[in-house]
Amino acid sequence: MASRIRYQLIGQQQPAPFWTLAAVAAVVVLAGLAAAAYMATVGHHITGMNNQVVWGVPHVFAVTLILAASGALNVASVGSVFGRVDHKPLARLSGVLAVALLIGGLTVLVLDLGRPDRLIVAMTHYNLRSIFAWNILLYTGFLAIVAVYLWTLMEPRMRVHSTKAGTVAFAWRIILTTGTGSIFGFLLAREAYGGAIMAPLFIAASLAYGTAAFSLLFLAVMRSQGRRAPEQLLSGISGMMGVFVMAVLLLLAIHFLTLLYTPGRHDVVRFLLLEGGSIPATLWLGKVVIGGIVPAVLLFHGATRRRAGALAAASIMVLIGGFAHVFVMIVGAQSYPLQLFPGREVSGAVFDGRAASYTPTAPELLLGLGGIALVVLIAMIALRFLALTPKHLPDEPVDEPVAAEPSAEDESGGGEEPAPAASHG
Amino acid sequence: MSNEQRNDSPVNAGRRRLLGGAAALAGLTIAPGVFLVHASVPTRPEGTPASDQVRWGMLVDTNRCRVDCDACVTACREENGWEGHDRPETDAKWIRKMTVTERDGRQTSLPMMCQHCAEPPCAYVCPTGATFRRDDGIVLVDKHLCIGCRYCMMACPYQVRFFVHEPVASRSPNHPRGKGTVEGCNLCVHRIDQGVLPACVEACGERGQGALIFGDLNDPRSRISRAIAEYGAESVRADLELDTGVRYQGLS
Amino acid sequence: MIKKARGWRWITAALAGTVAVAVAATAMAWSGEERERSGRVPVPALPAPQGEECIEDADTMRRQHMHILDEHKRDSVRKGVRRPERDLQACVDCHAVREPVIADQPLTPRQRLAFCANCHSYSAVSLDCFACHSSEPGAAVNEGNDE
Ligand code: SF4
Repeated sequence: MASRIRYQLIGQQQPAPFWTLAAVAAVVVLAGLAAAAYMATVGHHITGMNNQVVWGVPHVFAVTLILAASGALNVASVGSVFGRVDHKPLARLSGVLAVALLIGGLTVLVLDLGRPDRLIVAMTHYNLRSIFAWNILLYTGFLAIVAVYLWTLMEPRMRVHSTKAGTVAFAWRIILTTGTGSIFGFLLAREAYGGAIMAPLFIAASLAYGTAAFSLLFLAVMRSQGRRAPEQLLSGISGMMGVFVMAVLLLLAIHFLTLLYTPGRHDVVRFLLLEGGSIPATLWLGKVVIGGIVPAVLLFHGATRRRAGALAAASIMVLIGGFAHVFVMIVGAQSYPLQLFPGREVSGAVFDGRAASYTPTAPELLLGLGGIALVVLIAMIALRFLALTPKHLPDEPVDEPVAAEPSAEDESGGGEEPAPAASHG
Repeated sequence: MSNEQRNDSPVNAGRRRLLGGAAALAGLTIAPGVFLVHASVPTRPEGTPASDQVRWGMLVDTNRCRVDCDACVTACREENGWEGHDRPETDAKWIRKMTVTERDGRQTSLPMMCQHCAEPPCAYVCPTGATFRRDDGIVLVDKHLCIGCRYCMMACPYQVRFFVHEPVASRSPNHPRGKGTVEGCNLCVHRIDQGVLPACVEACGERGQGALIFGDLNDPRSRISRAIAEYGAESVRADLELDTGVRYQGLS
Repeated sequence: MIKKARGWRWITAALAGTVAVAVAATAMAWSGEERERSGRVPVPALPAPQGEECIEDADTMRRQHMHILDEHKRDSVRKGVRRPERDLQACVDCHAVREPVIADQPLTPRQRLAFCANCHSYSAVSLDCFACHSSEPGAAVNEGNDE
């Protein structure tokens, strides 16, 4: 299938709706920044966070976005590393989305610090025993590697290295997700975390949420041009995402079963699954039903797996499930009281013996939404100024004329991953 | 036993005043001899670093501690200036009183504060190295480096670290504190370095029940080591094997 | 009191507080001559210290105080090397203004530490110390600066 693939810029032909959407995203980003500035001025007491729930909704957004970031690269990996030809033209989109998601997530994470002004300290002082410090290196490394990978995809002279770069990026993102999972895996004080299972759980989760995020971007781009994605491709992405979604559910089940068989951890499982108020509700409804079973049906069922609309709906649900999952992982795990004296009743001044309640407030939610908007904004700007979007996909149905936008890109072919000579908007 | 503590407190307090007053005027050197105080708080000369020959620790005798007493908490708050804003969910509580109820209804009262682990999970996870264990075993936050990520609070099993949730209304020269950083019991490091007992121990001896003993766990002749040798003591959540510097008697 | 606004300004002193500093500096008791000697930007007026002698001569302190403080900070916090005469509190004890600038009005932290603040704003270097450290001489527990 040595078809030539040409790439184009998005938003040139119909600038008005494009820039309107970008402006909306920018406004939400600004609102998020304002919320962060407010939090930094008056302190975190205006958030729902407290002495026990020290990581709140900003972390939920940040971790979900960071997970999705490494998973969003999946489509590129499938193309470059595993040689799936029909995925290859989408590698650029996938790489750019990964970068956008990571930047969005990290921004939220940093702005939720008690001293965001000291970011420079975090960059210059490393405690190398800290998983967190390693994650700082993993994240910056990921950005650099994906940037190089994108370069090899887009610069013809570098194209020969794209498989190599793709492989490095693939390996790096597995390590990165393992690192993110380990942030929680090694907190022996928190009963809800289960050590070694956290890494595979996070890897599966990242693949599911990242593929979902990618599908949404891809479908949005196609739709904005009035194009239809090839059924083969849709079914491929659907199947892949369905497997990831099931894997997350399975690993989650194993995680809880493992906890059940760990002495002294019954109560935390009961808390998370049954008694913890909004936590079990979020888990069952948000993660299992909306984020798991329903999308799995949509993704696997013969009638829907080839349909763009169904894939979009499933992706949205998987992402909602992702937030729910991370919410339970982060907020739920902290709400459960620390066991200073296991098996005995305690009372005291700092949530001793009682579950913490956590209700997010507007500024934290705004900060999180600002992070999502930042992802959208970065992705849109990249789509506008970089040749990321294939003009025509292999096997793309052409029952209506392709709304080809004028493109500054030249074409290249020859069976390899095609790329423009230079990309000037 | 608690008389020993009580007896040298005035000496220490007086010496502290001298130092504070003199330092207020200009730089000064104090003759090394001035630092020779009670053996349970050996001092090192000014200008020398904390030594790993020493491991500071505290022993809580829960048989003496009483539910209705909070002399240690008050003393700590005054010493270190962590007055809150009447918002119990976000206010710092470097030290708090806890009541543990056994299945048979027996109640134990005890103070809970940073346990000064030999293997502190907080220091292990801190990305910038702001949280660290000083050579003499005191776990501290170097607030110049703390970025307020709160990972240490996630890691601590005792819930004794606190994030400063709002601008600080009043602060003590003994302990700088500022919004957005993490803090907790520092074993009154500023007092220990002057050869003075931590504020809670002093207060417990003077106004409380004499339930706290402070001293060098590494020195077998120190009062704390002798008390542990004689009656035994245990760590809270000993199963986590953190080798805490704060130990409790009468827990089980 | 508009405490919150003041705190934010304190932290971002060098950036946002230039105007406020100018006002505060004018309020300080400083002589007209000094104003004349300066170029376009008035040379900061520094309140007289309480003590006789600093730990180093004035020239060294002017150029090196941040390094001295930084080194002492690391030594004392992380290693436990105590040198009370080098503590920031010792600087405050000696240099803080004690008489009210405006009669019967309590000193603001900025007025109290005019010795630091005037020069820092003159050289446009942010002064972060007192976001956490006490700015009052002596007293056991004192008013914070950033509420
Ligand atoms: S909050 Fe501060 S002390 Fe705690 S882990 Fe983060 S940087 Fe370290």
